[in-house]
Amino acid sequence: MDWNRRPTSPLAPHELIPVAQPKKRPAQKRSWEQLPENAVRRYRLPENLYGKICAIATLNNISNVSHVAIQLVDYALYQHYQGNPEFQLSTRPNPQGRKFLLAWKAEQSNWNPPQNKLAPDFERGKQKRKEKVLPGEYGGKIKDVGLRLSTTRLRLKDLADETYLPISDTLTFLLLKAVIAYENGLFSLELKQIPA
Amino acid sequence: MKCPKICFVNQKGGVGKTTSTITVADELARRGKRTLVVDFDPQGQCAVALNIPPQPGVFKLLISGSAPADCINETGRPNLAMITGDRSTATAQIVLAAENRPFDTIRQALKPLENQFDYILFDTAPSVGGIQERAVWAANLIVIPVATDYLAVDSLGKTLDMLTALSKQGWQGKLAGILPTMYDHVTNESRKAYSYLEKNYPETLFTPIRRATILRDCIADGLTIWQKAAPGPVADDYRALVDQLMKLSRS
Ligand SMILES: Nc1ncnc2c1ncn2[C@@H]1O[C@H](COP(=O)(O)OP(=O)(O)OP(=O)(O)O)[C@@H](O)[C@H]1O
Ligand SMILES: [Mg+2]
Repeated sequence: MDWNRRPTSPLAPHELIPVAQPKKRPAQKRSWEQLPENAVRRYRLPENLYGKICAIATLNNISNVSHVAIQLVDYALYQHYQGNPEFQLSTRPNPQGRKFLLAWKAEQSNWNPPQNKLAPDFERGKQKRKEKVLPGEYGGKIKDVGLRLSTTRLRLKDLADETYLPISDTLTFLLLKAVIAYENGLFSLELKQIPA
Repeated sequence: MKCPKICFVNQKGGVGKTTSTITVADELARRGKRTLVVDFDPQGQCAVALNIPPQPGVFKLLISGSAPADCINETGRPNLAMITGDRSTATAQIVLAAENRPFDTIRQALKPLENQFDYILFDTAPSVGGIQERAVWAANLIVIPVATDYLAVDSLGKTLDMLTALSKQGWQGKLAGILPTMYDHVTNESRKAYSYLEKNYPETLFTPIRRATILRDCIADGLTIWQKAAPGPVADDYRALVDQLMKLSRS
């Protein structure tokens, strides 16, 4: 069979028919976006907690949620290292993983997470993430959230390393406690002009 | 885009239109997307493939003027519904042509369902005449399954001509891509067909779906590949296609 015998049209279809293109991610062109410490990192946060942080940003006319998250985390880290008992993380080993689990409340610390299946669940295609179930306040859906935590991320990481917790869980804890403090009026956010 | 409509079309028969429609639809449904399949083929094979009786759903939708919601059949699968076709679809085709109904007949007929579904997929018949064009007109994205053999590739031009003609007339949709099917890397013909496609349609080619007898078994059993042979090579191929289509639907 001779494939060369086939006529080739002078115009490829994409020159005649509109062709669908995947949506491009907006280019990150601003110089501060390109600094390594300002890279977007993904964290797994409870959807409702993230919603609350977005609401705080909106109420304070702050367009960037990351800025709010940084302030909340900084506040929580400060309280933690000051020894405020509300901001101490209690942990316990995770029978399924290398990292520890957060023990949210004393009465829940003997709570047993469901065993992960030994064989990965191929049924639905993508392998399911190991379920990190955290009881209590955690509840609800978990969402992948991209944040630029800047240098605060390093301090967050230090704390996660100290406590053997996954970084997302550590972040969830700090954000949650800080949001509660914020809601109780223990601190507020203030917009400041950055000197040029 | 809201409720993307994806149409599988090729004037050539037996290239995997129905198989691809059903497989993609079921995976979308399994990913939690509310999905509707509309079978514009008088053979009614979408229903057969999912083991439900073919009924005059398309005829009711386009000709009898029934409310769209009344034309929908359940498939017994979560998130997956179908407007079935059967012989009466051929009658519908004749009526559409005789009455010279406008191009956007199907688009208008499906509009009320857009809030009810996340994706609507069309399977079409291997022919031209009325319904195909109107289905394409209603679609946002077009997938052209092409078997990797000489005659199938040869007929691809005709389908592309139809799309070209429609886009000259103001069709708003886009070509998602050409989907090589029944690819068998051990046969010369498959390899040559694929490299021909690669050379001539580089911008618009999906990764090929391998030839697998299991797909035929699936249809015979009224199951989809996801129930019968996942994980597996063909399931992987189709999963990649679904990923791509979801990505394109977001633009
Ligand atoms: N990748 C594949 N490997 C092997 N067989 C396949 C593959 N895809 C489809 N088939 C088989 O090829 C036959 C035709 O497929 P299908 O009915 O999906 O084509 P079609 O384009 O819808 O046909 P028609 O034009 O008649 O509607 C079926 O028996 C199907 O099981
Ligand atoms: Mg078919």
